[in-house]
Amino acid sequence: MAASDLNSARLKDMYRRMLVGREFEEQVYFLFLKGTLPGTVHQSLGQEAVAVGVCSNLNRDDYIVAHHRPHNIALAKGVDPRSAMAELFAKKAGCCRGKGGSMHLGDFDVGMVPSLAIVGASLTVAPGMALAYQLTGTKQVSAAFFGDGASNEGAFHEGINFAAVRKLPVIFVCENNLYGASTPYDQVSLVTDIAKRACAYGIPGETVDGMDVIAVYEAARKAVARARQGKGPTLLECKTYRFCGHSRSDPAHYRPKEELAEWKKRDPIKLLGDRMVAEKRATTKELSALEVEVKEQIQAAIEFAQNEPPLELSEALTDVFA
Amino acid sequence: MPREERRLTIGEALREAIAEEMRRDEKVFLIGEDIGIPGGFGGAFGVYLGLPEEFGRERIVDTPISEKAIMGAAVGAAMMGMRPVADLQYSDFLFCCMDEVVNQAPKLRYMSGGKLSVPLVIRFPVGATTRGAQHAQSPESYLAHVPGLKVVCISDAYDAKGLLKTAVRDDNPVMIFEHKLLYGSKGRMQAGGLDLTCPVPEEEYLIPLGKAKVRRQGGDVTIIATHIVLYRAHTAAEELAEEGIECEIIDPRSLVPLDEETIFESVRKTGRVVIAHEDNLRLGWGAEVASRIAQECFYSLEAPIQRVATYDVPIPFAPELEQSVVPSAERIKEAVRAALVD
Amino acid sequence: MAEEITMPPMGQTTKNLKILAWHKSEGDRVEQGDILLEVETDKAAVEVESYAAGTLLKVLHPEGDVVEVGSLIAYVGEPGEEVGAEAAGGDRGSAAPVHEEFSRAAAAADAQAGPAPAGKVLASPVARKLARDHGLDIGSLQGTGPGGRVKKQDVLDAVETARAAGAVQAREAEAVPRAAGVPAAGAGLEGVPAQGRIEEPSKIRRAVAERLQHSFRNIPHIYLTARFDMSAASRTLRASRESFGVRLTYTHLILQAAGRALRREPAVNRLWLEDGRIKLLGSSSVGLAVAGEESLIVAAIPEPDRMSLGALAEYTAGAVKRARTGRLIGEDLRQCALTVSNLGMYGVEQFAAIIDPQQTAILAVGRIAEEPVVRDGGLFSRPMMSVTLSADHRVVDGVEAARFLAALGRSLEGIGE
Repeated sequence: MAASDLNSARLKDMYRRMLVGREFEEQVYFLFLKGTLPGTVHQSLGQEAVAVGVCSNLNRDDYIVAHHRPHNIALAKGVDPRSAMAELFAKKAGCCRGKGGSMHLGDFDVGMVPSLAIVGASLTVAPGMALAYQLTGTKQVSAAFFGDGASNEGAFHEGINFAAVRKLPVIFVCENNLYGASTPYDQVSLVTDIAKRACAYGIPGETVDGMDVIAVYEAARKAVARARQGKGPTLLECKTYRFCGHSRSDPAHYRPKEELAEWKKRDPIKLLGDRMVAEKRATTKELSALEVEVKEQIQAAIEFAQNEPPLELSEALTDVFA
Repeated sequence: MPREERRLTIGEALREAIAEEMRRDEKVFLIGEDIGIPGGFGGAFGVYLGLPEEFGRERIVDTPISEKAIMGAAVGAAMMGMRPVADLQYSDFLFCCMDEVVNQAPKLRYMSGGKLSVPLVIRFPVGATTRGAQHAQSPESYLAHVPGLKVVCISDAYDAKGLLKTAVRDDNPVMIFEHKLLYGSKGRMQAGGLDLTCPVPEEEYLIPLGKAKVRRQGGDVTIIATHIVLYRAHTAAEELAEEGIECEIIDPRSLVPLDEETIFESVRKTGRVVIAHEDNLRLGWGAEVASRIAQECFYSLEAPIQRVATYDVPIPFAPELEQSVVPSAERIKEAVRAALVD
Repeated sequence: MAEEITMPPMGQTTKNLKILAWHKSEGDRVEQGDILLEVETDKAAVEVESYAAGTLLKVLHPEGDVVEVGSLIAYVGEPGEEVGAEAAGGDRGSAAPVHEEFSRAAAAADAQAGPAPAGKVLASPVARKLARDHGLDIGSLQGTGPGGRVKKQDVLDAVETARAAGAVQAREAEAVPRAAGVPAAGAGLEGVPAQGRIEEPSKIRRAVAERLQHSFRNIPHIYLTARFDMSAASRTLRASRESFGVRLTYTHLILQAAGRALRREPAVNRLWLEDGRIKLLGSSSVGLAVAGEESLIVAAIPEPDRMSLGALAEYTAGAVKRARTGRLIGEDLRQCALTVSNLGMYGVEQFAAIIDPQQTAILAVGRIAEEPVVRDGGLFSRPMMSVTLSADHRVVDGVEAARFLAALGRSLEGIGE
């Protein structure tokens, strides 16, 4: 089923944005192997469809809060790959001026606050943003991104309940990639469909195939519309899978190799690409050209980041107080 | 015709300050438990009584018992340009939302590279009042430790109005600690027969953060104290004056930023220091102030720096035990005498 | 140019990773993303993809090697390319940053060179304490620290100077109440500038100081005080003045009485030797403390109780003269268990003295003064004198010392017995 307002241009745009996420993450991985990136990174290869599907429904001033695995989400929201890359290289030109880092990625200027690395934190902060919109009567909507692991944090309960009771204009987006670090979700919850918990708060909950960007888009469109109309929050659960370890020092031996192989068959980029070609929305040539374009864009971002100057040491002491 | 001096309690002064700020700036709103419910408490200690009638309940956001949600909401709303004033019914509940108060509010600006600010205020009632260990703490020291937070201790009505107004207008997270026994709410026994009112000008005034107040002048010993312990220090000072010992009493008013200049000037004059607070002794903020004095005024000191604080025990329920562990005027006098031993 | 392959930072905490297996051999073709090798981290075995594409030209570390993160492990490039032996990616120079605002070094505190408020002395707490302990007014001391601050050394120097100028009395025995308010040094005494002057003590002074210190430290002193009625002695003196050429004094009488008492109570006439044995003396010689030029000198008077008063007076005169001029002879230095030290002529009522390190006791004699005493129910005026015996408790116990004093008293009070 093709979405009514998704014309070819929009589909290509979504395809391109997923490519940007994928290429960014793959290149970051090699940079990490070379030892050029400080610290570590938590990557989200395979989860591109969730980020792109949701963010395609948001305006620039619909602010979002993400978690410690934010690269794809940041790029999907509109953070420039150059400033995202520069942030990973701890440069002043980074979206957080080199002082946030991978886990706090976000650019206030494009509607994303620094990501919060405490699991579950987004679930109380995004409602706060929505509260501001409600009090001032703007039609803005906020979104909280979180993982399956966060569903068991107290903040999940407090944040969703509060938002529900006040009918705050917020959507709660859960990327359920089946593992909280190394722990399979079915070992930490008897209810494995997180969206089912929504009824406890009196709000709609929907489970969606997180590898199908159009399905995500559709579900998110409904949720955002609800919120904007003042009808309150929705809990969106996107079943997805990360094609990499928890962090870059994790070889993910807790996951069966066959499981990864199965999920890789449903690579979201491949799914959309095949579908677009089948429905004659795009040609393979066009898609390949996009790939080349994106590879060049990311390469330029890397060069940009590498050439930018680092921070002055004195900047460690700035920006504490306004 | 001379206008009679208007005296308010701290509770009344806080209410007036909040009302003025809410009138002045529509971005200011209140969020907390039991604050706007009709026929309800009007907030812990009745500080918000009457406000819903003027501002409506939209700007007075009642919440479930969800400290994380309250403080997370304050953080989120503040980032979006609002000026929330959040409160906890007892400061002890701070620990239910430490993540929001310590990991988010003071760090988001820094992590964003200065691109956003978090202009929120949180109000905490502190102090031991015979309700047992979990409703008795004075935890301002925990938060004074956190880079990115400002910490204020309000001890009288004049300061309450001026400091709260400043805090609301500050673009940073400001933590305000008020003592339960000093609100002066009607129907409550006032601690130790204190007059909990003081003159509060009707016109607008602001008290800057980082400016201490010398409440009593004296040349023999410098006493630095907050909240109800400040009043006990005054009692001690009056009794000591009969023996010819003149104490200088300083109310720091804000712990972060700390008015070092006023404190150091006094210490250089007297050479003897007593720091007193109701937060417990070990790693209480008194230790920080003592350390700074030792570093900057070392050669002016005539005697070791004394600290008087609650003993390092959970607060006991039995009233006489409770009174025996928190700082008393007697213990302050003892400390002064110790500071005067040559 | 061939691309350097370095050991990636795969471990969470460890910097040294072991190469478990190479998945490619030298000469193999490698694509970006191909598994190149497997390493062991602190957590698990991890496969490492290649970030370079080309031919694996050189493998620098075989399987089993443990390599530090960031070190060179292989080269990937075009066949035939040169592979250098340079180390991969140099260390970023790390100069420890110093954030001025946060590191307020001692220098900042020290730099409070501003003048102290009126009436306040800038001084360190340890300097204040030292000054107090030595009875010095810290306000009168010259400080050599920044801003004129008085330091510990400044106080120590002032103490030294005060001693040399003789303004501070050495502490005597503990039984004596501490002298109150030792006067401050150096307000500009004659010949001594205001801030004092430091001198080297003479050999004699030094020797005396060492001996006294040794004695005070090592001999467990006990002190017994008694008061004697010197009426009989006084009569004796008056009677004898007419008889002898040399002037007889109370000291002679005391020497004689002391010799007699030693004979009566030989327990006191013993010495504690360095090797821990006790020597019993065979004669009742008594030492006499004489004020020499630089210090007190003890001249031994041989068995004064066996001399007649006249002979004693004459002998003593000679010994005193020799002592004063520093010309003591062998006789003057014979072993005694007891010395008599008389400060009565200076008006001293009572004092306790430090035992000479080679003796066992010293008798400190105070002044004689007319005092009201009760005798047989009546009030009379009598010439009373106080003596304090310091005795070495290793040799003499309380009772023995008391008996000696009693014998001395009997001798003095009923002269001739």
